[in-house]
Parts: sequence; C-alpha cells; structure tokens
Amino acid sequence: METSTNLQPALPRAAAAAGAFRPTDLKRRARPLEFLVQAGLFFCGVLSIFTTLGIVYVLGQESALFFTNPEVNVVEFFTTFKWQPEIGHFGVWPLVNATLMTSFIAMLVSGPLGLSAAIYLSEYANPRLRSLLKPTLEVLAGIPTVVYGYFALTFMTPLLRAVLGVDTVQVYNMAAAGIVMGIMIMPLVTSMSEDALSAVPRSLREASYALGATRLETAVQVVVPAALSGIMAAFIIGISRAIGETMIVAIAAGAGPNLTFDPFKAAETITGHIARISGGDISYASIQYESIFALGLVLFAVTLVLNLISKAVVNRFRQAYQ
Amino acid sequence: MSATTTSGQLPEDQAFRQYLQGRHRVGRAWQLFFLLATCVGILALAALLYNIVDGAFGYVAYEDKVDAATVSARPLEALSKDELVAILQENLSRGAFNTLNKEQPFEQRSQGDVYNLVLERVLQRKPVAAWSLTDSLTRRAAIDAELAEEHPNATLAFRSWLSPKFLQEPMASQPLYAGVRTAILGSLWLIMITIAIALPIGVGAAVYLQEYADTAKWYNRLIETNIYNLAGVPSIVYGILGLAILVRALELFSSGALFGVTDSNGRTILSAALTMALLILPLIIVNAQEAIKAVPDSFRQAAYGLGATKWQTIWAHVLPNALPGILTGSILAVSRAIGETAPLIVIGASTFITVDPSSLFSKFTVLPIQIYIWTSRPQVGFHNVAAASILVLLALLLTLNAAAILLRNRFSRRLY
Amino acid sequence: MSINLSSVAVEKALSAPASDGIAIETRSLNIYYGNFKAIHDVSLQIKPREITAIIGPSGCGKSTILRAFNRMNDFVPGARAEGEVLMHGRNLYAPDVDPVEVRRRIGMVFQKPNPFPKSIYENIAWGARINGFRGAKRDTDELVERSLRDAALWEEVKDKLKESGYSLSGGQQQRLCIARAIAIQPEIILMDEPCSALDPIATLKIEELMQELKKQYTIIIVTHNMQQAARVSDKTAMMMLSEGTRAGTVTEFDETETIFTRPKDKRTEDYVTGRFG
Repeated sequence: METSTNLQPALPRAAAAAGAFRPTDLKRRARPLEFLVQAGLFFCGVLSIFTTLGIVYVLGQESALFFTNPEVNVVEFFTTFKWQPEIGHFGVWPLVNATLMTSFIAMLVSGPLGLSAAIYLSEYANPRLRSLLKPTLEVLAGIPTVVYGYFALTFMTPLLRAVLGVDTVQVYNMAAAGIVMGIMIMPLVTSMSEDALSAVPRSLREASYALGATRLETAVQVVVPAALSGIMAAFIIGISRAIGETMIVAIAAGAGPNLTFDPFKAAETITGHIARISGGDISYASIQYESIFALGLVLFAVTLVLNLISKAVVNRFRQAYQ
Repeated sequence: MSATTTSGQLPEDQAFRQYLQGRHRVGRAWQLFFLLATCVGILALAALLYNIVDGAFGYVAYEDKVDAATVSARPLEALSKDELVAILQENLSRGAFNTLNKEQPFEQRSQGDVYNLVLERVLQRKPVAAWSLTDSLTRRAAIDAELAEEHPNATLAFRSWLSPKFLQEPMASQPLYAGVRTAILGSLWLIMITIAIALPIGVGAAVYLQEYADTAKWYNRLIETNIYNLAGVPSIVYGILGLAILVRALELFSSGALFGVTDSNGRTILSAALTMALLILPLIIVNAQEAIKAVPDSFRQAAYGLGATKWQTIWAHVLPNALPGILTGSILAVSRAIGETAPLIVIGASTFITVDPSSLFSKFTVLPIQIYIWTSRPQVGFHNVAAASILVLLALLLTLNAAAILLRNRFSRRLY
Repeated sequence: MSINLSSVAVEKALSAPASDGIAIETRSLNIYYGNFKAIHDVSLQIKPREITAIIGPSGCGKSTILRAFNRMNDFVPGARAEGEVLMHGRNLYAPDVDPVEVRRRIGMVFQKPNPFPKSIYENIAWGARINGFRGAKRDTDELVERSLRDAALWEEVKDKLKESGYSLSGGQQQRLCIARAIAIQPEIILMDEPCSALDPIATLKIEELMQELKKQYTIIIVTHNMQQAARVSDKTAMMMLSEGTRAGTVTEFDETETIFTRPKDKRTEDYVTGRFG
C-alpha cells in the first residue's frame, strides 16, 4: 500500500494547473487600491477639520475687517447699549440681552418640564406607557423650527395677549418666542436626562428601597443626584440650542434691536438680526455685511464654549459606580 | 407631618405610620406632577397640529374689483379655456397679455391656470378677511354679521388653502393664487444634491474613524472631538460659512460661470447643497459610526481569515451589514435638512421665484423659506397659505420617516 | 477586634417582642414570575437572634426566597406570592400591609456592596432621616457613630466621615452597607451572599461581625459557600429544585451541625459532601 508521503507532489501539479497560487510567496504586496482607499477615507474624516478651520477663518477674517473699520470700536461693541448701524452705533448688548432673555425663558420652561418628564419616564412609567410617550416626545423634536415660529406667532402670542391683556403683551414679544423655544428644547433635555437616569445602576435603587424609601425619595434623593453630571450636561446643551436658535425668534420675537427687560416687548436676538440683515439687500463691502460675521463669531464662540463645558461636566463629575 | 415623639430617635409604630402616610401623600403628588410635565409635551404637540390645521381651512371673504357679470354673461366656472383666454385678451392691455403668453403660452396652460389669471388680473379678486376652521364651523352667524358690517360687498366662500392646486401652482404675490410647486421642487432638488454629497463623505469618514483610525493617535481623537463640536454649532453659522466661501469667494464655481453659465450669481442650489451637506455631515458620521460599530466583529474576522484585505472586508461585509443603520441615519439627517431655514436665508435663497429649478446653478426656494416669508406677512391670507405649506412640509417629513422605518425593517429582515 | 454595643441598642434588643419565639416564618409560600413557578411550598420558621443560612445549588431560588421576606420581589414585573409570610403574626403580603414599612423592619445587605454616592456620614444618616429621624446635629452624629461601631467600621473611618463612600475598600464598603442597614433599627437583616465579592480577609471580618450582630438582630443569610454556612450559622435550610420542576423548595431545615454531619435527606448529604452542586 502506498503511504501518504506522496501527498506533497499532488499540490504543485494542481498549482501548476491553476497557474496563480504560490503558497510559498508570502511577501507583503503593494496594494495601491488599499492605499488610495485609505487616503480617500482619511480625507473624508479630515474634511470636518477643514470645516471648523473654515468657520474660524471666515468669521475671524471678516470680524477683523469689521473691528478695524473706523466706524467700529471693539470696546464700544462690548460695552455700549445701542445697535443702530445706520447711524454708526454698534453696541452689541441689545442683541445679547434679547438672546439671553429668550434663552432664559426657554430654559425656565424646558428645564423643569424636561427633567420631570425624564424622571417620570425613567422611574415611574411602565414599559407600555413609555413606548407611547417617548415617540411622541421624539416627534416634537423632529418638527422644523420654522413651524414652531408660526406656532409662536399665531397661537402663543394671542394666548398670552388673551390671558395677560392686549396692552401688556405686544404682537411681537420675547415671551412667546421663549416659551415655544422651551417646548422645542424639552425633548432634548428629557432625552439626555433620561439617558443619565437610566445609566444609574439598579443596585443603587435597590439599596434605597431596602431601607424603606418610597419611590419618590429614591428617585429624587438617590437617582437624580447620582445622575447629576448627565443632567447638568443636558441643561447646558439645552441652553446652547436656545442661544443658537433662529427661526422662532426671527418670526415671533421682533425685528429691531431693543434693550429691554420686559419679556412682553419686542426685541431682536443675535440670530434674528443676522437672519433679517442677510435676508435683505446688502452690499458685500458694507459694514452691515461685516457685522454679520462679528455677530456670528460671538455666537460661535459662546456655543462652542458651552458645548465644551458640557462635555467637561460629564467627564469630571461622572460617578464611578464600583 | 411632624415626625417623631422625641428628638434624636426614630419614630415607632403609630408615629411612624402617620409619618409614612405623609410620605406617601407627597410621593403621589409629585408623581402626578411628573406625569403632567410629560403630558405638557403631548399637549403642546396637539395644540401645534390643531393650530396649523385651523389655519389651513376656513371661510374667506373676497372682493372683486371688477364684477364678474360685466365681463361675462355666463358664470366664469362654466366657460371653456378658449373663452377664458378671450376674456383675458379683451380686458388686459396688449403688453400684459403678451407677457403672460411669453411666460407660458396659453395653449400649454391648464384651464384652472387661465381661470386663476382671470380672477387675478381681470376681476382683481382679493381676500379681505379670513377665518380659522373652528371659527368657520362654530361661528357662522357671527361671521356673516361681521361681514355685513365691514365688507358688505364681499362674498363668503369656504376654502381649503391646502388643495391639489396649491401643490401645483408656482409662487405668486397674492395668497389666493399662490402655490408651493416651486418650493417643493426646490426642496427636493436641494435634498437630493445634499445627500449625494454628504452621504459618501459621511460614510467614508465613519469608515475611516471606525475601521482605520488608531484612537491613540492625537489627530484621530481631534477629528472625533471636532465632529462632536460641529454637531453643536448653530445652523445659522453654517449659513454664514456658506455665504462667505461658496456664495462669494468661490462665486465662479458656485454660480456656474466656470462651466459657462452666464446669468446667475453665487446664490444657487449648488451653494446651498454644499452648505447643507456640511451641516448634516456630523449627523451622518455619528449615525454611520454607530451602525458600523454594531456589525459583529466575527464578520470581519471571518473575512480576514480568508485572506481578504481591509477594504475588501469593509466593502463586502461590513458596509452591507451596516446598511440599515446607515440608511436610517441618513433619512434622519435628511429630515433635519428639509426643515432647515436659517442657513438658507443667509445663503440667499430667493424669496420670490416662480420658475422651477432646472439645474445645479438655478436660483431656488424651499418650503421652509416660503413658510417663513408668508408667516412674516400680516396681510390677509398669508398666514393661511403658510399653514397649508406647513401641512405639506409635515406630510413630506412623515413620509420620509415612515420610509426610514420601512427600509430599516426590510433590510433587517433580509439579512437573516 | 472588639465590638462596643451602645446602651440604646441593648435596650432595644431586650424589649423586642419574641412572639412564640419566631422572628419570621413562611407558610406554604409559592412564588411565581408570571406563569413560571420559582418557589414551591416553602414553610420555614426563623428563630430570633439566630443566624439562619440558606444553601443550595445555583438557580434553585435562594435569592428569591430571601427577597420574599422584605418584598423586594415586588419590583419584578409579574411577580406574585401565594401563601403567607408572617411577622409578629401579621401576613406581610396582606393587601393592607405597606411594603415600605416592611422594608423598614427588615433590612438587606446585597451581594455587591452598593453604598450611595454620598459621604460616609450621609450614607448612614440618610436612611434614618427619610424614616422620620429628626434631631440636632449631635443626635445624628451619635446615630452615625453608633451604627459604624456596631458594624465594626468606626475606628477605620472616624476621621474621614465626609469622604465619599466609594473611597473605601470592598470589605469596608460592605460594612458601610451593614451600618446603613442597622441605622434604622430593623429587626431582621437579610444578607444575599454578602461576601462573594470580597477577599478572604474581608470575608472573615464580616463573619466575625455577624456573630456580634446576632446578639441584637435576626440574620438570614444566603450563601453558596458551604464552609461559610457551617462556620457562621445556627440553623441551615437546604434548598433544591423540587422533583421534575424548575421550582425551588426547602428539602431540609435543621440545626447547622445536623445538616452538615447527620443530614436526614440523601440529597442534602450529596450536596454537602460535594457529590454534586
């Protein structure tokens, strides 16, 4: 009987027949396609860096033009209280004030409501109720902001005027815009807070219940403090959203800078102003055009800082559950 | 709800039970509060939808400057198209008639179109008052009285501002004759080009970050942090970026001058699409990353084990399996993009345009811009067409999201 | 390591009622999760101020039975109990009984130490406070010190009460959880494999602690470690899957010494001699 020492000769014959496969050749092959593909994909990833650089460059350059314009003074920009470009006043505070007021009102609405909804969904609601409520809130999040603007102007303002009187509440006012902004931001706050609450381990809740605590005491005195970093991050992101929001305030808050602390009066926010100016006819070399970029720079800087703070908050205060 | 018998002690028995009852009462109250807070969101949604529907249908009172009887013996609705064209010819100046014919020859126009023209240019029908749906259904008598007092010459008719005609008509300066065709086409054009640009790049970046990038390297972490930050930048800043770079600096490119197009400027669909692509890129990247992460590693190991290269593995195994997630993510990004208004205002979407988009270098308008323009006008009828447009936009979004869910389900089933 | 019993705690122990010499008992207890029967017909009588161990192979329902005592199973959707769990003659599952009060009277220590993300001081004071403890700072300080002493932790943490509970080692955290549980003066302490996440030295400390604690509290401990049960408990209940089902039941319940040297049931003998499980 032939032993199987003759196995080896069978292979080279087959290989010779196939012609291509040489099992001994394991040298690394140059693969141009792989390299090209990897380079291409890397470029895609780096594109985002270009975007950020582009934003910074564009905003910076035109803002520099703006601030070096003889009509404009950096100190005046940040310290005076009148924004009337036609007569050379470039104090940014009326716009900033309106932005802060509308954002504050928005957080007054979305903060407590959003957190309460998150607590309910996370600590109280049974799975069936959750599967009903969560999608509804997600629908709210998907509605375009221009639709919210319409809602603010045609529903919220008349409502406020009916409740508080036609003399107290102007047709364009910051309160209606702020409240509707709050409704728009609420799903975001709820969703992020609920994620934070759900991340708290079950063992903590069990420990609390085992001490004879009620569901409320457990939720509010154990779970929420444990999830605090995530909840704070949610609030900060909410504020950032509110500050950057354009359409609701452009439609409902008013056209024309106005420094006032009365929320029921009209005022123009930074974003609303940018939208109005660029929607009109402006010449490219004008100071109006350059002011868009200066304002955009302020906006970009503030939201960027807020987003970075939110990330830092999550990392710094994250409770390590052992 | 006083707690203890003596200080420094835990309450026992009766005192404890009483205290416990108090705790339960407080617990129930707060539970109710939390539930109501959750319901506020739902109430708001209901109010929103109600408000929109309310505005899109209702009674309209209109006045004709020129009485229809003086122009035609028979009622206008009964006339044929040719007869209507004849009326136009009789009553309009030669110049005006020829302009209309040049814009679109009368043979090509539909009957409804010509009828509208008669109403608009000959009778000069204008709305003088409009009422919401609830008002129309519940306060008819009061409306009649109001009408008799303030606009005795006006006629009352129930109007669905949202109608098939509304979808087919191009923009017009009068709300009675305005339609959203230009806007819908503009939105569709914009979104298709945006996705064509953003999807490959976004998926490419996600593939790079998940499959190729060594996360220990500083530049890769920088890219990831950067994408996270970009997602939080307000959309209007993207508009400003697009304005400066695409509309102005690269005007030769974006206006099409480079390619021989002579009659436009930088405010084209191309500029808008590139800007929107940048806007939704972080969204697509993050979603695609999640989808790719979800593909089990065993798929990759199996392919590598057979001697496949990295790219072969990704192309043949990872991407197809990640496809449902990527698709869902893209549709979410598209939903976001369709509703965006602010960046397009800054880029310079046209506020009044009646010509359908025909190329990358066309001027354009989109649904959200129309809604914005019309909402900002206080004259009668504009809020109503705004409401009708919102319904169209919401319907579009609903269809998209339903398609996303269907696609995702279909693809998930197919894999197994 | 010596333990100091404060006078108040001793007083409490002496005044605790011993109704018929039974701290807690179950009568024909069956527990279901939905349609799945997890526990079959368990009748146990736990004597006060003793350590009772529940042993058995994994999956036979030891933890379920333990959680039935303080109604922690209520949190599992679809869980229900048939039969009775009686404490001082009252059925804890009667409809008019408030489970929150049950959990005040019956404390629990879990397998993995789970202190709250609060300071050591707050970990202990919080439980008392929500149960109605009101007092000046001095009273709260005293409560915290007393609880920590009774849990054999005071000397190690007395200088760092304001630090986070997570700054302690595993064994210390578990003793913190014990201190937290006894701060509200329960009658019974349930322990669900309290040492399985700890190293042998920490385990030893806890076992010594249990011997002191049983002077005031009734302790029921679930453990998969037979040697521990033999070392620590006065009585032992052997649990196993009931014949042909997936429901656990108590097959033998006797003095620990009997269970481990002269078990009456063959299955018990097989288990403790290591022939299976």
